[in-house]
Amino acid sequence: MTEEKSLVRALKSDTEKEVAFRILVSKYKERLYWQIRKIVFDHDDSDDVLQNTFIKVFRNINSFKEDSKLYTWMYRIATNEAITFINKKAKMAKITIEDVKNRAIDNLESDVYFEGDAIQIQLQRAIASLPQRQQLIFSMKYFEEHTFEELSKILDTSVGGLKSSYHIAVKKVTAYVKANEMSFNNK
Amino acid sequence: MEDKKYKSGFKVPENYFDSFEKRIFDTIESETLPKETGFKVPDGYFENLEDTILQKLTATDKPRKVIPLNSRKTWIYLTAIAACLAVIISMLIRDESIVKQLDLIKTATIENYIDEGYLDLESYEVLALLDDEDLTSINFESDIFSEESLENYLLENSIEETLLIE
Repeated sequence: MTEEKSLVRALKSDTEKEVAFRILVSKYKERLYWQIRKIVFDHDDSDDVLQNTFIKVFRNINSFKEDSKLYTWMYRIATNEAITFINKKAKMAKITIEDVKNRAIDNLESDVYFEGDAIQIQLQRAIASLPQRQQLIFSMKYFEEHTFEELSKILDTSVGGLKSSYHIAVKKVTAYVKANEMSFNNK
Repeated sequence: MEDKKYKSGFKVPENYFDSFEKRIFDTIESETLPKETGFKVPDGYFENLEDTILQKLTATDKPRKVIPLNSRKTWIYLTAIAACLAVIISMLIRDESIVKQLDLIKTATIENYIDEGYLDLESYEVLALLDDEDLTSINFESDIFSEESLENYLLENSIEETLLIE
């Protein structure tokens, strides 16, 4: 904790800000990137959102109240930025958020930065068919293996609520993948 | 659970048994699913990221040092004056060919301005120096891409795309 406190102190100081920020970026870039990518799918879009996230963190560091962990705060910003990005895309194209995601998944097959099989695409479609909140909970728990306690802080939801949501999400996702099993020959 | 046989002093976390089935189920069920997302990144992406971001931060924080302020301001006013004059004269002169020439001159001045690399302004900064009358009658051929006009451009284009899809 002391390491974090001194990093935050450095980030808030005028003299050490830049150096501290470089450390911050180095430490969290990958975790935040993958958090964003799961929501946004496309690498270039994820890159944009990630950079915006760090810029926002940099500009607002002085208003970070230190009542949560630094990475919890940053994760929240990253998640919100990613969701805002998707919402904006939907609004501009005048389609639903689900359509935006489905189109992005359609593009995965030809995406140079996707090396998954048909089953991975099915899994993404299954996740995209969940309610927005459940998508987040499932992705974060399943792929990134956050504990429910960590998720509870990031998403500002009770642990019990998260466990239920995750349980329902697993059921739905598995059912979806199984129902569409005929469309891939991965096994 | 109140069986005295198990009263050995050991305790379990709250709701442990209640949630046990759920947790086991989740683990087993999710074993049928792939663990990897399949997403990957370009080579060297993360390595170069710090520099990219730090550059953007220092660019937005510090004022641009590209050109001394004076000559930039001069160019702003020159363009504005040229535009104003062109508009005023074109209103006074009915002869089409002269108006066309003036239009060309005005456009050429602006194009030079842009080519010289002086124009790292938002378009509204230039437009702010002109009167409303001039604004409505001005017809810039080379747009300066402010965030606003970009957004509008995209919005217009997206609408067209949706129509095509439908």
